[in-house]
Amino acid sequence: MSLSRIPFFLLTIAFAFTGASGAVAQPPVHTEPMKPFAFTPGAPATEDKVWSAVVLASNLKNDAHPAAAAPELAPFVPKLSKFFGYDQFEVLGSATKSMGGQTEHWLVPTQNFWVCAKAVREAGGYRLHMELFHDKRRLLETEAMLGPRSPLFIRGPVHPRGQIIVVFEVKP
Amino acid sequence: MTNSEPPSSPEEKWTAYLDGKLSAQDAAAFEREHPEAIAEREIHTRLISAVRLHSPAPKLRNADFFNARILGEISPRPVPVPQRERRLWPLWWIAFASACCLLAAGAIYALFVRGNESGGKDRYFAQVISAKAGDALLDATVLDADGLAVVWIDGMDQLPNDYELE
Repeated sequence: MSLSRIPFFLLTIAFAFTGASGAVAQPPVHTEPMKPFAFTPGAPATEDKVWSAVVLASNLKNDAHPAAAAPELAPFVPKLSKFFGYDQFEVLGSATKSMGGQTEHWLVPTQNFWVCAKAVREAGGYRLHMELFHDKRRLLETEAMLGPRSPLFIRGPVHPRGQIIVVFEVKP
Repeated sequence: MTNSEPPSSPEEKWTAYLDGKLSAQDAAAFEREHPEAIAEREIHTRLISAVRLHSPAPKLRNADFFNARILGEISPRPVPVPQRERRLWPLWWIAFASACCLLAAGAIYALFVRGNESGGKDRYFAQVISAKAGDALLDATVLDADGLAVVWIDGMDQLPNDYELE
């Protein structure tokens, strides 16, 4: 590289960084003066919904093709297949409810599985408290932080047709 | 005047006669026309002999230098090519630099800005804070299934064949 070319490359890099910094730069955030020790509990998220589904994971026969997974599950099917060891994930039933603040909601994805859930927005995600019932037996009580479109998977009982998996997801 | 052409002017004839360049017939004819030419020729011949005797040709030192100078003078000179006027930033260089800058800025924007935006939207985040089994016969364990949060409940009996799932 001759010396006469060096200023050209330096100028190119300078232009590139200028353009990139302009693209990356965000406008200054307008901030309101905050009250000291202001605390607001999780605001009621009337538009947010919690979705629950009972999924049957099973293995296919030799020449069968897997049915298309539900849109909520499709991105996670490869990892679920690898972890649970099943080829197909069939939604047996699902239920969706809007979250109404601090109150708990009952979701009945199938007639055998019930869910009592409460989700509030917190720190950019959702704090979910839920209890899972199978028939009249309480299987699990859990609390989790979930991001949007980030489902929580619960391994349920085994059926001769396959493995029961209960899925929870918060939809913004 | 070339050597093959006979001298035409009187001066040329005189010079050719004194140098002995005329043929015998022409020299005899010239002597008949100019009787004093014989004496002149004698004087010229003696003068030339004396000059050659007392003024030898000088020896050239540094012959290579003079040969090089002579060769340089007689060798064909390269035709000067008109040089284009050199500018610091020709137009096409500026255009090329602008295109490079646009490409680099676009690549950085696509990689970092849009990549972060889409990554933020599609990034999976689930963290189980607590998991408690419903009764003493069950056990709940939180597992990481290749980045997915899974609560594994153990202790449940297998459902019977005729159990209605839906």
